[in-house]
Amino acid sequence: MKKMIRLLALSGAVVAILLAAGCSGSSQAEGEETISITGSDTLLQVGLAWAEAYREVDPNVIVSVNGGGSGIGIKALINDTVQIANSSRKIKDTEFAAIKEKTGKEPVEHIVGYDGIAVFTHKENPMKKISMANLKEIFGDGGSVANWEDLEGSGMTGEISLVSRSNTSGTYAYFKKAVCGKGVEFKKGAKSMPGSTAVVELVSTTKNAIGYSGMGYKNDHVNWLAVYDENNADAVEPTVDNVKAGKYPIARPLYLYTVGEPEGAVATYINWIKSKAGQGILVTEKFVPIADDQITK
Amino acid sequence: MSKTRLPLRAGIAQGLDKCEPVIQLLIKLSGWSAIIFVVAIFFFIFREAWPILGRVDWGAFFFSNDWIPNPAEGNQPKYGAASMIYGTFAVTIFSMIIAVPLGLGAAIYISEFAKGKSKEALKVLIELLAAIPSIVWGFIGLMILGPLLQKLTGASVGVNLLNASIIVALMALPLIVSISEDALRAVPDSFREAGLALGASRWEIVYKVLFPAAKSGLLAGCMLGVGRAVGETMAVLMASGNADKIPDNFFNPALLLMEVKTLTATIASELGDTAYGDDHYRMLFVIGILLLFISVVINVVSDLVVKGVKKEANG
Repeated sequence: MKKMIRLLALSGAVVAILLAAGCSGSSQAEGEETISITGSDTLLQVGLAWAEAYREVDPNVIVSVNGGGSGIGIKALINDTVQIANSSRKIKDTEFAAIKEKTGKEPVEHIVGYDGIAVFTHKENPMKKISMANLKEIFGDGGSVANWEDLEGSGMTGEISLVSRSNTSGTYAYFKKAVCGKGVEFKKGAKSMPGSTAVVELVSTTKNAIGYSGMGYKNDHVNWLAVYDENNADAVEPTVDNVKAGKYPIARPLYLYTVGEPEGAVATYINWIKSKAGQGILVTEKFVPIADDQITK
Repeated sequence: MSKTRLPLRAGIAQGLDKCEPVIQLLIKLSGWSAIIFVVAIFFFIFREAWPILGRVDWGAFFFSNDWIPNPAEGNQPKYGAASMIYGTFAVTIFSMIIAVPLGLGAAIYISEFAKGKSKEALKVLIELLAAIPSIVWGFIGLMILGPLLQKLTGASVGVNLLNASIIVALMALPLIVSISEDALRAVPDSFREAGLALGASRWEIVYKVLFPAAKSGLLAGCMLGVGRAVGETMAVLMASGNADKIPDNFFNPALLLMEVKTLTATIASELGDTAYGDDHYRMLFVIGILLLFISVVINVVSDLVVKGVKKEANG
């Protein structure tokens, strides 16, 4: 009997402690505001870094950031479950119309940085530069370059091993549009790697490989190619300065979308992202900041 | 024992007696829950795929390997799953070609020839293979086995059918070994003693006495291995290359060095980024139906084979 009472008392105490621990911490104090952000996985790391740093700037504002993809973010904006959508691609016309129809307001675009997509090759690949036209012949469906020897001055032989991303990736969509052009798919045998790091890992171990990923994913085991196009005969490497100056041809803006002009805490937050402090965090996450004349404060 | 405790004990015993039907009901519910969960899964997958089933171009789905759900501007999306169907079958077949002989061999060794400490150590080590998370296997395939295969076979790329098959074989191995070893252990010693008495060598006892006796268990183990291979997702996602390729010549061994794509890896890499209710989302559930169908067929076939083998053994 005494044993049973002791057991009941102990379990009761454990339950009470667990309840207390679980219930505290999730309640919102007076005067606190939450900003919900969802969207691009490309922007997830920097979005989380911004949210964490902003806690120091204004402790009354809690910023919660989730990934899922640019499309998911904009859908959340349509359904009014978030205030800001992260996007690594421009909003589609259909999405623009859907937001206007559902909320009565137009979505507003904020460019908060730039991302250069680098073309990576194996360390032993002697090529240093490539033209946009040749990239299209290599990556695009129906392109004429299938082997390294088809490329003038490549210095290599063998079948080109294409390393691409999963077809739901924003990086995949952007690279396809920028390099292959309108209406052209990727070549059929391209490998769909699960993530930007996986692309670089595979290129680093495969001599005949060529792949694309964010410029921030470069490591010492791969080379990147300088790219030139018909606008600029000088081959340009995907460095921060080149992307900032608009010289590197495969660079995309990073967007935040809001429904209508942002107000209150959301407006202050977006302003802070575009300020020197916010852009500094962007650079640490290996993206390219907006032009100096755009930086606020 | 004080006098005050006896009535309480008797009371509790009486209470438990009254609870018996309740406990019986709980146990019955647990048994039924297994069936309910399976039916619920079937229902869920069919429900998510249902709206698109009428619009699917089945010819393209089964025979085209153009899987382009996010096409370039102005193009129509294409849902050709032929390369994935080939990939799933190829990985399953080749991984079983590696895993079944290795697994049965290991089981025979552990059951018949290993003694005492080495037997226990081997069993533990093989179970350790099963404890490795499948994503870690994927990384082993991508970063270690890939370059190794390139060096050994001169393949142009390390992530290919051979790589995925080896990794999946290593993952299915513990399953095959432990079930086969159990099946061999279940054969009564009298069989072995009878064989010895008749002058058979130890190896002859294994393949003339034990194999026929343990046939149904050994087959069950292999079929479970097949089920494991069909369903493996994360490891093939990293190690198979995920390319929409089908070999022109199914008899050229070079197909082992070609990248493949499986049904499971496609769902894993794409479902999380699709919008709920999208065509792409629903097509991935159609792939799910196909996988369910393949699993059901494998289970039914293995059931029939094991039953047939049992009948043969007893009749």
